[in-house]
Amino acid sequence: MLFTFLKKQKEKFAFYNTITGMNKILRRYFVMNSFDGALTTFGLLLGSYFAGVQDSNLIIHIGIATAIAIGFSGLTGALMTESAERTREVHSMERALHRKLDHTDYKKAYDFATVMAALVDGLSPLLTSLILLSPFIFFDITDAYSISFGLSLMFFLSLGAFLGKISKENMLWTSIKLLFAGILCMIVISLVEGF
Amino acid sequence: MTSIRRLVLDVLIPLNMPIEDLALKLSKVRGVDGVDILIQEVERKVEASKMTIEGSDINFTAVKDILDKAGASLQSIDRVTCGERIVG
Repeated sequence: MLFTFLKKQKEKFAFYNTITGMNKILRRYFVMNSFDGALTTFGLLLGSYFAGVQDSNLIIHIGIATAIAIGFSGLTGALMTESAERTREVHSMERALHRKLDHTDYKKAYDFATVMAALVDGLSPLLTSLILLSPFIFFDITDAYSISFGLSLMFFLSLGAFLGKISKENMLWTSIKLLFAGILCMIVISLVEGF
Repeated sequence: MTSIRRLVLDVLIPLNMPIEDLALKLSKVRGVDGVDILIQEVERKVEASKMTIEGSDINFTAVKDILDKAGASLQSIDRVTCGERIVG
């Protein structure tokens, strides 16, 4: 029963993807916004570290609020922009076909793509931020900082590797590029916080 | 017996619409034995196709519903063959 349902959903996703080509944009949103979430949380943690914050509870509260805000920003932003873009696409197709496309598979595919883009745009930074904050729930504050920084750098590397995989470039090179972006952010924050 | 045995339709299909999927759906319509979709022209947004549907008693309303639901646009009925014997 569940297997049949999942198979049907997979087929539906493939069908809608053929019509809209949404896979590409979902992948782009996932990478872009996960990186966004990770870098924001990384910055927040670095700031807390330099400010000498030793209260896990405080970091978790601020971190979760920030993660939710980034998530909402992604969700609403993508929903608005994608909806406008897809509506324009559907209207343009209506003109080419000389007919309305309400209640058609074509329109449903574009609506689905809009919702998926919004979900990926909203959930990817939210989940990334929560993962990076999770050490503060399970570990002592000093260890939590180290683990979170380590997790952040590992996350930049993995995201870079993923980018390398989809662009069929050298995965090591793309990983280093993203790691460098993270380290650069760390240096700038350290310099600013140092003054 | 008066029944539609063959239809040749001029249909505009949105670009990227999988035509194999559309052909399969049409082939499942009651009274349809076979479907052929031939893309004649690819334009910027749409594909102009010639659809040939054959069967013992084609349910034309169901065919139109499937085309409508897919987002295709029926431009004209170019050929209809009815009756017990296929002519031409």
